[in-house]
Amino acid sequence: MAAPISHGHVLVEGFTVVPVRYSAKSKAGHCLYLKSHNVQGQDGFKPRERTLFILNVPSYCTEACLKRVFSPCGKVLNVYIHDKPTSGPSPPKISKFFPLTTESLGFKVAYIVFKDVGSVQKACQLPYKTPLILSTPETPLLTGMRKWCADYAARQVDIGELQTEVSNYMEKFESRMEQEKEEAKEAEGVPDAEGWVTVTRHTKNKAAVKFAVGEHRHRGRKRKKEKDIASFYSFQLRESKREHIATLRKKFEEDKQRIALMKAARKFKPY
Amino acid sequence: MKRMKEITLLSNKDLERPGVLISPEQSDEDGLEGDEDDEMVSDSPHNYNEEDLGRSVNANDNDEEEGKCTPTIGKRKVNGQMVNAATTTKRLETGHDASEPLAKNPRVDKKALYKIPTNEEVNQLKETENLFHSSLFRLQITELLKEVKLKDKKCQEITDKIKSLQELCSSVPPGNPYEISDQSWLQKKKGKISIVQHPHEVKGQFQFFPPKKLQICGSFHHETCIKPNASVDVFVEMPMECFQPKDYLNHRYLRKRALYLAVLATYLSKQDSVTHLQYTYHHGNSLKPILLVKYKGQCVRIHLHVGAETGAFKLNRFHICKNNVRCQWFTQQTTGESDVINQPATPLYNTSILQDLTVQDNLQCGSQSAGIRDGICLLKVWLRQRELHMDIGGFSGHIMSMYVWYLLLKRKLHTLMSSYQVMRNTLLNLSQCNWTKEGISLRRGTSDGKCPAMAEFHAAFETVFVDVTGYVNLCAKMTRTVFHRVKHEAELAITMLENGNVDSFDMLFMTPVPFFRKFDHIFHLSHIEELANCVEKLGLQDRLMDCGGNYVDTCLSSILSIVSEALGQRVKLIQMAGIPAQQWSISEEAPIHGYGDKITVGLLLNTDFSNSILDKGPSADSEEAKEFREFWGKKSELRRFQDGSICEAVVWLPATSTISKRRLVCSKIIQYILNSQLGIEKDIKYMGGQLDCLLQPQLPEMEGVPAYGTGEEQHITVIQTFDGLCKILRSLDGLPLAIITIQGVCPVFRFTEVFPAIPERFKTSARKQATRELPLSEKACPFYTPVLKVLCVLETSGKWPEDLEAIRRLKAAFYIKLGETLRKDHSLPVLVNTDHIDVLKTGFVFRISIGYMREITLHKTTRTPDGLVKVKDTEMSQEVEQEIVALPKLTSTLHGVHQRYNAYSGTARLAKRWLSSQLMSDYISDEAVDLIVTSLFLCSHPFTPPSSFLVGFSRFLQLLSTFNWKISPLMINLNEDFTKEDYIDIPSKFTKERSTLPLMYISTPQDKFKSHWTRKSPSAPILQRLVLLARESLQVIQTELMSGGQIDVKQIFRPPLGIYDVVLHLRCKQLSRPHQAVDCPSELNPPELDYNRENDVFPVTDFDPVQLFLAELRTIYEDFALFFYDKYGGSVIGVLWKPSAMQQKEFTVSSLKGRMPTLNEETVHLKTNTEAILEDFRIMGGGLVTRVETKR
Repeated sequence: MAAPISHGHVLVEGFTVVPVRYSAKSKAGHCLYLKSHNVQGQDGFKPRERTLFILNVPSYCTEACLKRVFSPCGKVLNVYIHDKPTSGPSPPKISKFFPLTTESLGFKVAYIVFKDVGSVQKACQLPYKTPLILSTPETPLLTGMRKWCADYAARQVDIGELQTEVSNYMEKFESRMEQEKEEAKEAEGVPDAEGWVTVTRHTKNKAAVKFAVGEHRHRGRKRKKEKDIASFYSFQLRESKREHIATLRKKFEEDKQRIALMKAARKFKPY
Repeated sequence: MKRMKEITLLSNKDLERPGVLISPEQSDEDGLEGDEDDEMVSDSPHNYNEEDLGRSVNANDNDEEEGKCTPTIGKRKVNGQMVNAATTTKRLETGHDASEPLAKNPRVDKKALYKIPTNEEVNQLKETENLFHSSLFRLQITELLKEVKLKDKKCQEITDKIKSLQELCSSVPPGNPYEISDQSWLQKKKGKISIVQHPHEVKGQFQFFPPKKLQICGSFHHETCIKPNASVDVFVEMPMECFQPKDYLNHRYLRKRALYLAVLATYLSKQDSVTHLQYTYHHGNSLKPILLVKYKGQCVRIHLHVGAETGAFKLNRFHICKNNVRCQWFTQQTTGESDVINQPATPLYNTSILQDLTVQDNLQCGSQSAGIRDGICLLKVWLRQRELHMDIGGFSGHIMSMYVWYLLLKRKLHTLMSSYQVMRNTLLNLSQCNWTKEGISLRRGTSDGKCPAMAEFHAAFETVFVDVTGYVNLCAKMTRTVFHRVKHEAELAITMLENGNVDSFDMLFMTPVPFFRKFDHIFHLSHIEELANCVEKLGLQDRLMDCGGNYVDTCLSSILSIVSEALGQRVKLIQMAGIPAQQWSISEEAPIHGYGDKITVGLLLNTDFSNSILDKGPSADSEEAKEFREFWGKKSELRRFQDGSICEAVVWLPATSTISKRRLVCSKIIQYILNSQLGIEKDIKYMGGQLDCLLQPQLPEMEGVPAYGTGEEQHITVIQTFDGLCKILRSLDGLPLAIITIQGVCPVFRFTEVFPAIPERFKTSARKQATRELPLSEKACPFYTPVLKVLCVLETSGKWPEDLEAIRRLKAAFYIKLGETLRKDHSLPVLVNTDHIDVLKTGFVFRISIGYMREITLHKTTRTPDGLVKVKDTEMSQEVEQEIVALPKLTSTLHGVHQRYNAYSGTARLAKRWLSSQLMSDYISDEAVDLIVTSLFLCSHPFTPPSSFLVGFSRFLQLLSTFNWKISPLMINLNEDFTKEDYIDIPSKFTKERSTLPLMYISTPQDKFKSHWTRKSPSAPILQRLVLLARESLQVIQTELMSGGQIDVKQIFRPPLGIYDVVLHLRCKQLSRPHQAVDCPSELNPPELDYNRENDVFPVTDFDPVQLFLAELRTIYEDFALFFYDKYGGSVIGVLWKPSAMQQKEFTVSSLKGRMPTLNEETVHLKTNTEAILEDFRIMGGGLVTRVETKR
């Protein structure tokens, strides 16, 4: 399929290709792939008509930067940047100190929510020839040495704040555990709809933890093998000797094969 | 059912043997035998099926008849009938199991397994068990012998050639008589005499008569010749007519011999079928030239020896205590009285002639037994792999076969023995004898009683092995050192054979043991022509005459004994490297000695003593003190020792010297002693510390700071500081849980950190903020301060929650508490973080974290929706396990290895330095390298554990370049915790699951099946590249070592940049450790000490911009490229595009990342946006990258 070029913008498989440059001095840059966010199911955060879906966002791009770059198309209400296409907003940050996921680098996807419906269309018609500039002297993006120095400085934590957070969390955690315990206690001995009684670890007579099929752990309680007296009967002796010859033969065969392998690898030329 | 079976069996038995009760002893005996057999049978599957049955029963009948010749039937006869019945029952029982999978190998037919063995087969199986190490060993030997022995067809060809040679030689027309010194006739024939004529004048006449016969002797005669470079010794008998009565005197015989050879050589040179004609000295003996002949289309060389007919001279004439070279003649003093009585004996000269005269007598020493012959072949291969077969300074195959013959005579060997037994017994005997003190003799009682006594032999020669006639010492030219080397190798071989866990076949016969990898230190004596001056200094004029003017031969053993006396206990072994004797064309002058241009001597260090800076001599007033003073000259001084004694002593270094200097004490000693005793000064090239410079950072000498040698002292300082910290941590009060274990987990704690942390503070550009310093982007990067990771384990408590998130928080709370206590009670500066706490102690930053074992299980456990618990290894659980279980264990074990072998640390560090300088260090983990290096020490076969960095490092390269990771696991027996079963289980599991296991599979007793440290990397292409690099580097080191330091070793630490697609050049100012670079950038200013810096302010820690840059690059462009960097001060990053990234792709949403559409083509594809990515490199490395160079 040839790339239909009309009105200066490039459209490939429904995506508008918009080149970006890091700064005005850059000679090359990546391409953003723009498309109107058009998925089944309505979601309050990314309304269907007003949301622009962007692929291949360079790692140093920030929300503010995207907001600035796309504001000529219309007023931007919200910008979301994700690792991969997601519905809804980014997961809320539960904790300042203990993030659940590490911030990942790499190319990302972004959703831009405009105020007006027409803005998405406008964005999709951005020309191919004029690249967008991401970092300007007034609003620079932090990269390289400056970023690393800033990161280093931000590494220190406020002990007081940390202490408070930990205490709060633990309090909540403990009360939650307590509650669970209570609930379990209440549920004790009460048969469910089908008449089964759940036995928990709080039960007086502790039942074994249920393991999934095949997950039975060996507890090192191997049953002692019954010691049978070998060669009690003379046929056993004879049998064992026959077996012995068989093992020798088997080993011999195996060795022969190993040798053949080694021979193939020319392993017997000593020098 | 089981019961039923037993009953059936019993009844059967009772029926067959009515009234026979089993006495207790009998059953006991049964039990014993049964046990033995049971063990062997245990893993063989019991597989029978109905079909087999009939045959087997019959088979048993036959078995009984053949019982007598079948060893497996055993001592006690059994009733055939009974057995039949019983086994039948059993088979019916077990028949149901037939569906069970058979052994791994479906090709082994079980019918074949259980058929009746033929007599021959039984014998063979039995033989294998009794006569060989294992059946595999036997098969390997057979294959090896096939490879090295000459084929029958070839032998026939050679015999034919020699017949034709005989005809040729006997057709040479007899010559005219000439004076020996008149050789103009030979020059007319364009021939050259192959011996140094010093002095030229000698009485006597020479006339050529064709030889009566040619005799094949040596290895070809005994059929113990081995390929490649096989040679056939042919002895040409000079007829009696050639000789005159006094020919034994003054080299006359030798001259005649050489002239005779020259006539043959000139005659042969006219033959078309002869392609190659050269002289050489037989075993480097410059008195005895031989002719090398090669026929057209033949690869086998014929060694043409010339000698007198048997009986030409009386053997007693050449008694080793007699003189046959007159001083007056040799020194050309015409004035002196010819005093026959006071002439010095000429043992070497005499022996050289005797060897010719006794050729026939010694020919009988050969055996027709195949086992013996094959055994000799094996021993020769063994010698050859150790470079001991060389002409000069070697242990020839001839001596070896004579020794085997000797052992046969002594009944230590038997003609019925297998080749394996011959080999093993010979080595065993060799390892237990000492020919330098108790020589051995092949002489029989029947020979005449005039031959020299053993004591006389010992007085004249260093090693003694007397031949059949009782006159000739077969080891006349062998120095003591060579014998000791052979003995040492034999000892090693025996320990190897006794240790069932090593592949001894491979180590004995397949692995080369080159000289430079065997010895820890090596030194070269170049310009050996200077040795001519040493003869007088050593007082060896008589010996010079005996050697016929060959001054190198004269001095060599004295030099070696001086060196070995000077080094004393410091070395275990000294040996001169064996060299092949020089060869020269028949139209050239003979060389004065056959040694080439230098002598190489290797030292095997004894690390208990080798580094000591002082040699304590005898007490000042004792007899030996004078000798000591004489030996050491002005270096010897009187010293008072701690125990109050006053002794002579030699001090080599001041007590404050660094360990790196102490390691080279031997070099100092050799330099000194050779200079003071022989006047050799400049010509000594000592190879020992050539690579030390790579472990030295480019730091200026600083006042008040201990000197930086190669980092040993710095390691110790770190560990001492750490011990102090441990003490504090253990004694802390007021913690919710006490700390019970504290372990360092960084390489520095196992002494393998390439550049250990130093506590000094340098002037820095960093900005101070409260209690710590921060880097500034516009200023130069501050000096790198690493963090030293420490893992603590707390006492057990039931109060830990069963939730990972909660555990994380509790740990943080613990860090806060710990920080508080450390700050308040011990006034240590601390920085608390969520997952660790940094403590600053005397300039070092320790990063303490807590390991909680339960976390591993929690990571493994998942709960299915219906409430079931599943335990399964996950990525996370493996990582945690590695971090808190495997790593501390490994660190402490390797610390132990370091304490046992003091070259371990240096070898590991050099290995890592090399990997890093080749930009590979990020693709193979530190721990994996440490482990591989450990294997060089714990399983050093066929060597001894290395005692110097240099040899350790070259063995590391050797291992890396030759180890076959594809088919074998690297098993490292840490703490010798592997059991015998492990040696079977691990390889078999490895073979079975090869495809799912890591490429580099390292197994230790602590980590048998997971191979923690090579789980993720290296990948196949990286490993391949490593192998290539290692091979190249090894080559360079080898040339360097053997050439005597004429090339720059550092070149193997400079990576070739040509292979990379893109090279990113970095700004030197922003490198945090430029002083560690192989070639320190010149524009760099050396760091300066800052005496005013506050000690309680945290320096910029663990901040290396390049590493941060790389981490970003690697995560973002994972799919596109690989990044290579030398973490020790490298100033470039190499980038290789992945082949998959360079291909055009279909336009799909999933492959849009980093790609751009091709707009000019018919169909739109996606291609990698290389330009933009290169631009990204510049952007993301802002301030660090100066230039992006595209190579391709």
